[in-house]
This record gives sequence, C-alpha cells and structure tokens, in this order.
Amino acid sequence: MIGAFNADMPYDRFVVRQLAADQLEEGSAHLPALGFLSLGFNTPRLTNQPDNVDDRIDTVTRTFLGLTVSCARCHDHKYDPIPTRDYYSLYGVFANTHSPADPAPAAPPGPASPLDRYYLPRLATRLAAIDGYKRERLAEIAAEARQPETVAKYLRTAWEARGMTNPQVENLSKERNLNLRILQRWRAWTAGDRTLSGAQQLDDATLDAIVRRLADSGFLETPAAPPSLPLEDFIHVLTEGDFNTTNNLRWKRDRVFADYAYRGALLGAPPRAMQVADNARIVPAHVFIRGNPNDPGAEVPPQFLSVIGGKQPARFTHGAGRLDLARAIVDPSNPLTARVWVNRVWMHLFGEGLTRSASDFGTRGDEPSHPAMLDFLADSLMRDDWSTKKLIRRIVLSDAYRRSSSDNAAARAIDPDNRLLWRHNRRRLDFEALRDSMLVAAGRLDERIGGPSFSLESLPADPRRTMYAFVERERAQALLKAFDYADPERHTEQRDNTTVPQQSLFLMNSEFVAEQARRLSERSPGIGEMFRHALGRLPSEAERAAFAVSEPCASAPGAAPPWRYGYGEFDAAAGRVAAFTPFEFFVEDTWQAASLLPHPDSGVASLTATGGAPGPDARHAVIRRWVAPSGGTVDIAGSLSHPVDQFVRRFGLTDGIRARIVHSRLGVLGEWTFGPPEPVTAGESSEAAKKARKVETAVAGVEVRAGDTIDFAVDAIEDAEEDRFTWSPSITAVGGDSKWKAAADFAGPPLEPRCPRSQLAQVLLMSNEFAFVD
Amino acid sequence: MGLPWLALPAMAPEAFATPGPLSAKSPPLPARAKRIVHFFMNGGPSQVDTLDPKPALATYAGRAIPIHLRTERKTGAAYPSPFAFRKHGQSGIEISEIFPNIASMADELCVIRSMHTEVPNHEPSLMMMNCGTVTQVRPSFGSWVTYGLGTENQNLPGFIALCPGGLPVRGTHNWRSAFLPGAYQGTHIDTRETRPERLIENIRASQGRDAQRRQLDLLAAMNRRHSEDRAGDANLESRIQSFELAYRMQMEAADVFDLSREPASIREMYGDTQYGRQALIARRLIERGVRFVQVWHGAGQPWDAHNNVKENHTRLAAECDRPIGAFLRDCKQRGLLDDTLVIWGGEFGRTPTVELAAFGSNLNGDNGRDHNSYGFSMWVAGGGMKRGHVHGATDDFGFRAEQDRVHVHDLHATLLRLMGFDHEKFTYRYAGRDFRLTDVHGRVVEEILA
Repeated sequence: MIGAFNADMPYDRFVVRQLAADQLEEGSAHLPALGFLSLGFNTPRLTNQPDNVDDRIDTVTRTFLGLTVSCARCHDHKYDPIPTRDYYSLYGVFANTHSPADPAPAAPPGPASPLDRYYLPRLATRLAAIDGYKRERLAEIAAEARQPETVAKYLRTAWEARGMTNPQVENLSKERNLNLRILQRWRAWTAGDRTLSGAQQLDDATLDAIVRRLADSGFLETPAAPPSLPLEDFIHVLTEGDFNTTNNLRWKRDRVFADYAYRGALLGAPPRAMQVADNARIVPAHVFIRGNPNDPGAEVPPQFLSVIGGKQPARFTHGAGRLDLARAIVDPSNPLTARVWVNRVWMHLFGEGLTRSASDFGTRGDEPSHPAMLDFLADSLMRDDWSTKKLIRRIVLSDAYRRSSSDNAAARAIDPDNRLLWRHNRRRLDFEALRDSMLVAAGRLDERIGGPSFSLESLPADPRRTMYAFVERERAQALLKAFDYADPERHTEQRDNTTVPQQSLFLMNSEFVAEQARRLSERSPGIGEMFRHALGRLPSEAERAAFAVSEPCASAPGAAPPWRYGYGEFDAAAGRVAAFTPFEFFVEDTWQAASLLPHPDSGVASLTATGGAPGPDARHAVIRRWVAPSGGTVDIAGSLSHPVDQFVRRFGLTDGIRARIVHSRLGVLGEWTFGPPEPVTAGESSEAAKKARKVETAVAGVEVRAGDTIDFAVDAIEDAEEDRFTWSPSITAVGGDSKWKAAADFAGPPLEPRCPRSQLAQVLLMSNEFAFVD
Repeated sequence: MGLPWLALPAMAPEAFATPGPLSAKSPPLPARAKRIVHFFMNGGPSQVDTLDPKPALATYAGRAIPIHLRTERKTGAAYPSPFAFRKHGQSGIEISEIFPNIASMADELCVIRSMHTEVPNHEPSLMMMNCGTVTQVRPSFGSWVTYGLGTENQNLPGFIALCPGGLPVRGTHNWRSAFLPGAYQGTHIDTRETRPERLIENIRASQGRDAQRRQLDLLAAMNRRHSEDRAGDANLESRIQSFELAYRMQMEAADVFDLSREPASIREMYGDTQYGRQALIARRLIERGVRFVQVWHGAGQPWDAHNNVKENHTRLAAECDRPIGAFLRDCKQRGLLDDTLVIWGGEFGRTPTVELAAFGSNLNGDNGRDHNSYGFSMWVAGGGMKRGHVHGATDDFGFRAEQDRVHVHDLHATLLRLMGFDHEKFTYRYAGRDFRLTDVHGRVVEEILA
C-alpha cells in the first residue's frame, strides 16, 4: 500500500486491486493488495461466518462508498435507501470468497531451498494430522448415527419436520439432541422417499421396517447415506474437544508456516501476502430473514446497490463478483467514490473532512461544509486520472490550506468550530508521527521503505519508521491505545483525539523517550543545536539561560553482569562451544536476536528468566552463559524440562531437545536428551506426563578460573518445532557465599542513565511545540 | 542539580478549565450506584456446586437424568455435588460449604439462579458477559460505564482490570473500548506483581521526584510561553494539564497499590494471598473514585473444571472466598456497599451431568463438568439491589434456567439502570447507527431492585 501511494497508483485502479487483484490479468505483483479483504475481523467457527462476511460488507461499503450498508442486515436501512436485498446481494460476493489458509508468494517460487526442505514436510505432517483426526471423528459420528434406534429417531423427526420452517427444525434438533446437519440430510432423504413423504401417519412398525430395510440393504454404509458426513461437514458436527484439537493443530501448523514464510522473506524468497480467492463452488445468496442465517428467504442475485446501480443493476458475472463490484464502485457514474476519497484526503490534510462523517455520506451523515468544493475536487480527481498526488497538490497549494492557525477573535465569535476554514486547524502529531519525530530529533530514524516489521516493545528501540510497527489484531497494546490508535479489527474513519495522562507518562518515564533524549543531547554540541534538532529553530535568550548546562552526560560504566544470553554452535569434535553470538534485543521479558522473531539465522531462539527456545537446527543452540568473576570451585544445580501437550504427543510433532553444560576449558560437563514424546494413553494423569520430561541437571565440584565460561546450551536436534523448555540453573561457590541464580539474576539491558543534559533534551521532546503542528 | 530553571508561578493543580474525556458526569436518571466491582470467576463456576443446590442429583447419582440438552462434550449420568449446602443468615439462602465467608454475608446478596447466555464456549460467552455480544467487536461494559459517567479521580484510570499472572481468555478484548475513544479502554494490572511502581506502564518516575518536578516546571514554562500567542486552544491547555495529572498519578498509583498503608487488621481480614491483595486493591481503588474494577481470578480460565470439579472448586473457592467475604464486610462497614454494585460470577455455568473423558478436552477420568449456557448462577450485592434475596430457579437438576429467566442482556440492562441509565437510550453513534450495550435486547429485572 505504501508502494502504491508512493507510485501514485490511480485511485480507481487501487480500489480494483484491493478488492480483486486476483481477477486481473497482470501477474502477481499486486496480489498483496488483497490483504485488505483477508486481514479483517475473523472468527474460526462456522456459526460466526455471517459476522465475518458482515465485517467485509461494512468495511468495503464504508471505506469506498461512505455508506453504512451493514445497517440493512436484519431489516431495510432505517434512514438510507438500502434494502435488505442489497445487503444480501453483497453478502453473496463475500460469502463466496475465502482467504486461503496461507499467504501466497507475490512472485513465482524458485527452486527448492533448504528452508523448503525443512518446512514443507512439517507443514504436510500437520495438515495430515488434522485431516486424519477429522476422518476418524466423522467415522465415529457416522457409526453412532447408523445405530438402528438412532436412525429411527432421525427418521421420525425428519418426517415430523416436513412442513417446518428452518428455525423450527433447528429448535426441534436441539430439543431432541439430534445433530442438525444429519437431520437435514435425513429430511432431504425423506423428501425423496415416496412412502415417507406422502405418509399421513407413521406408526412404529412402519418405521422399524424402513430402518431394517435401510440397514439390510447396506445403504447406511454408503457415502450418500445421511449419517456419512463428508469431510467438509466436519465443521457442522464438531464438539468442543474437536474444536480444541483441530484448532490447536491448525495453530501449530500456522506457527510453522509463519516461521517458514517470514524467514524465507528475510533470506530473499519472494515476499508473501494474505490474499483472497473465489470459492470453488459459487453458491447463490439468500436474504436471511431478520438476519437469522438459519432462516433463509428469497434468493438474491449478486449485484450492486440499487441506490447507485438503478432499479435493475447489472448482475455480477465474474465468479463471486468481486471484480464486478470493484468496477461498479469506481465507475465514473458512481457519485460517491470520488467524493468519499477526496473528503478523506482533505480530512488528513486539514484534520476534519468537508463532510465530517467521512465514512457516512448517508442521510444521517454530516452535511458537507463546502459542497461545491467537494464536487469540484471529486471532478478534478477523475479528470486527473484519479491521481492522489495531484489532488494533494491541488489542496495544499490552496489559500485555505496555507492559512495560519492563529486566532482571530472576531472570526471565532462567528464560527467557533472553524467550519468555514478561517484558519488552519492546529494539529497534534499522532503516535506514529510523534515517535518518528523523536527518532529524527535523536538523529536515528531508519527511513527505509519496506521490509519486515519490528516490535515497539524492544530495548533498545528499533529505529524503524513507526508505520512498520507490528500490531497484533488480537491484542490491544496499552501504549497504542493510550494514543488513540484505532481498533485494528474494525473500520475506523478517524482516530479519536483524546488527551490522557498515560500519554504524558510515556513521555516522562518510558525508556524509549529517555533513549532518544539522551541521543539528542549527545549529538548536540550546544543548546542551539539541541533546539534546532528538536524544534527546527534556535532558542530565545530566556531559553538559552534556562537550558544552559555545562557538562555532557558521563557514561556510567557498570560491572559486567555474570550472565550473558545468545546463541551459538556446539563443536562436537572439540567438545566446546565454537561460537557465541549475544542477543541484541530484549522484548518484554525475553532476550532474542531481532525485535520481532523469527530471526533469519537463529530462528525463534530466545531466553527468558526460566527457560527459552532453541534455534532452527543443532548448529543454533540457544545459550545461557555464565562468566566466572573469579576462580574457585562451583556446584551447578537446576532442573530441565521439556513440556509437551497432548496434541504434540498424539501426533508426534517434535523430535525433542538436547541440553549440554559446556565449560570453556574443561568441555562438556553434562548432556541430557529428551527424544520424541511418549504417545497419549487413556486415563493417564497429567502429573505423570509432566514428570516424564523433567530431569535434574546437577554437576558438583567444577573448577573455574576468572573469565571461564559455563554455557547452558539447548539445541533442537533436527526438528525445532515444539521445543520450548524450562531451565533456570544456579551456580554456587563451594566454600563461599556467592550464588548465581539464572532466574533471580535475569535482567534486560541496563537502563539509560539520566543526566541533567538529557533531561533538558527530554523537555523539548515533551513540549507542546514539538507535539503540535501550527 | 543547580540548574538555572525558569522562574515560574506555582501551578494550581486543581484549576482545570477544560473537561477531559474522563471528567465525572451525572447520569440522566437517578442512580442507585456509582461504581461497579466485578469479581469475574473466569472459566465458569458450577452452579450446582456453589449457589444452586440440587438434591435431585443425588437421587439420580450415576443414572441418566430425564433432561436432554446438548452439551459441547459428551456428558453422562447425573453428578451430585461433592459439597454440602447450608442455609445462611436471616434470609436462609443456601450456599455451598466452599464459600463460608461469602455465605456469612448472605443477607447482603441477591442471588440470581436463573442466568442464561447464548453459547457454551468460553470466548463468545466472555464477550457476551463483557461486551453484550457473542462475536462482534463491541465496547465492554466497563468502557460503556466509564464513557457515560467518567470517573471521580483523574489521577487514576477510570476502568481497571485486575488479573494476576497474565490475561484471561480473549485477553484485552474483555475490557476493550472498541469504537468508543481509547480513554475508556480498561487498564490491565497484573496483580501478581507486588511492586506498586511496576503495576501500570510507565508509572514509575524515571528520576527523583525533585528532578522530575523541576523538569516539569521547565516544560510548563515553555508550554505557557508557547500558548501565549496561541490563545484559546483547548488542546494545548489540556496537554499541559495532562503532565500534571500524570505527575500526580505516579504518586496516587504508588499510594493506592501500596497495601502496607492498610492497618494490619484489615490486611489480615483479606488474607495475605494474591487474591486477598487484589480484593484489597479493588477496595482501595473504588474508595478513591475509580468507576469500574474487574477482578479476574487468574490468567486463562481457572474455573473451567472439566476434570476433577471437587479439587478445582475447593482450591479456587479457598483462594477467593475469604477475600471476597472481607471485601463485602469492609465495604459495608465503610458505607461503600450502599452505592457500589458488587458482581460475582463467571461467563456461564457447568453441567449437572458428568463430563466423559475424551481426547482434546480432558483425559483424566469422569469427575468434571462441561460448559453450560442454559442455566447458571451469579450474585450481585450493594447499591439498589434487593438484599438476602434469591431470584429465579433452574429445573430440578440445575441444567436450564426455568423460572424468571435472566439473560445477560437483562443483567446489563438492570445494572445500567442502577447506574442511572436507560439501556435503550444510552447509545453511541458509530458506523451510521446508534449502538447500545444491550443491542436490541434486554429488560430491566425490576423484581431484583430494592
């Protein structure tokens, strides 16, 4: 998206690619645009599919058309001319679209790489485990549903339910504890069976005879028999245990895939992006009466909104209809799209749109303050071949945009809200701009465009532009939320603009701001430079006096900590750790090689106070290193465990881990290996299972000289999946008082020392002058 | 530090001209309660082992019961409660033996035995209990209340979620502000952490108090100068004030979380345990004007007793009974209970039938209970609720709410009414329509109002 705007991709083509890049014959370069549709609100359960589709309808129609079509889900829109039929016309488009499980490469793949050879079989194992589990469970369900008394129960219910509406059938299935899916299949079968569908009465003897006939003929065992649910129906019958199992396996597989795709991208494979595709079978949509998906009404064709497309909008003909929809949205005769876009650009430049309800151009939305301006700009946009850059240029060269933000009492009295633009709105930097500006003041901003994301929570801070910060849709980060960051699962037309003390606390007390303040003071020989870097001006005389500080910040040399964290290779021939690379980043409570994992080289290798995870193969052991501060004899204690859950055990998803304690002079002091996990046995206690993968790692009487290292190294053997372990050893000096405990001594990097000069620099970064643009 | 700081008139910290998003507001209707504390028993406690005694289960022990309701996992025969129930107080409310302290306050409780919700899965039921919807992205109850009422103490967040050792299932979604402004989002505090300064992000002053004061004074001087020729901009002014608020929040937070300031007798009453500390923190928070406090039992879903309900409920009740009993008694003696709503309950209940061991859910024998959305129990005490009262009933086995059913929407409508809102009129305009906590549902349960 950033690339598209930098290249000034015409907005109409931009919109078409966002919705239907897969349908255009232009190669794969623009497929990542489909992330717009795939990265929304998603819930995995089938019953929630209507909510997922609703999110797509809501997001697409509000974003591009400024229409709140989702209001027509249960009834016709209360205020705008959008009938429920129109909602379900679009419903069909998105219900017939799916996100493939995996983001696909945006370029054709090259020859198989070592990464492919490692990951592809592991992905296949996990998929096979999921399918195998589903088949097993469907077979169990079918076996139960083929019992004669169960068949009789279904048949009787199906027969009684002949004339019922769908919600009634659903209730009946609940009352009788029958599976709705199997019941529906029996209803379909009953409808095709003359004796049953025509019967006015159904006595037990007749029913028994039918059941016997079905059983004896072998029909119940055939795939056509209602109890024989096909694989795709698994989602209709799953129990909580099934959901847990398949979801857990799916999650484990996705985890492997994420490492594969992300490491691949870092190592030069074509980047991948989330996409969407049409379903193999396009199913016509029905109106859901009062929004109830179990109560389908009339079938509706896939077509555009009647309020724009006319009484008889053209039926969408390409697959699910996304391309037709996209083209209808950007059709020059559509009065909304250009106006909505122009208004958004205006909003970003002025702080408020000409129409303030930027995503609601309906009758309940806000009237535009300058309707003619909106029309003019929309018209110009289309004449300029939908060039956003030309639009921006047109706006910023205007007299209105170039007005000062100074107050004018007379004008304020007439128009306190500045709807008439008598001045420019003074604007506060949003979180991204604020953080980037501090990095600029500190002389550290990494201005590169593109590339991997980073974590906002690392120490030291990653100086990348904030727009590349990794945001987890499922987890609201308190810091972002404090700065009005929008909910990442919903369309948001404009961020709120609140002032809360948590914002100030970040500026006063966070390591990030302290770090930038210190860099700012270090790069500024005098107060003048400090002001120029931070505020783009020189200080006044009074400010010079107030900020006059003599001495630069002294660096505080601390004692080297006894524990180091990193990864490296164990050289079996030499019996020594051959290389040790310290981790550079501390994120929340974990040392790791990159602010966001996996790292191209060390994978997910990381260490916490009590454990960690090894790197991708035996050559990338994760190492907790102790450096002897003085000579003597020490005892080593600690327990190592490799806990695995019942899913890993049942499907054999790891080959275990290997741990070694290695002395820099004396070589290997101990070695322990946990192999593949034991299979699950029914009725076992979870306590016993936990104990099975735990061992004491004690070594007594180890001689050390000052500077010797003792490495606690764990490697993945050959397979690095499911290898998280716990191990927090302690080292005790024999005959002395000294004791080093890995867990208690565990710490992140030393904090930035505060000094008067960096505190002054911080004042500049906290100031209103820094945070507001006049 | 010996720095030539700008001379600056002392700020009058209370002289705030501009109301912030969290300024205290009056509700549109007469209110019976001003604040809410929700003891969230995440995972779903079993009603037949806590608040809803069912002797019929003993009669049917080991046999099928005549009620067939679909459950998530396979369940089998009736599974009588391993716990005894006894009548308590003047009201004679029957409560399980695992809650002796809470039971001693029975005459303060309004027990609702006819709760029901939509889905027997944790995630959607948590969303229903917290956000009034099963799946959609909607603001939480606490966010709504804070949006409607602001908060009484600007030096603390208005809506706080206490949870030790991590997050409950669905994490921050449980206290999300969704489309309401971010200021109404719940602030999570990990109460396993005992150092006050570590409880809220960036709350620990990064330098000595004097140094920081001087720094903020210089900042204020600079900002004032900046404002001089930018008169009449409320945004500049409120940002100036927010540094003063933050400065005081550092101290207030350090104070509120510092339990050593409580008399030993009070600490003893709550018990020096993780739950005891967080119940005491909850009282200190509401006492200082925090609007909405959620107290979660722990990370994940501790009450989810698929296995060994006896061990699980015995242990968890032992953790929370004394602290919650102490909280009720303490609030009562301070007069706080009169205008505080105290809620106890989970996202749903559990089956009266035994869950059968199965791969993927539980492997450890047939001694637990499955999820149950058809019927469960909660209690609410304080501001405007009937006291020593039992409302509604489940069937003979405690499976399904039968009499005077109360849906979660009804509970929300009722609690909002006590806070001074008509749940049908308390709305927020978003995406072209007016949203409500109760969507198009909910009935105020007049029968449980005092």
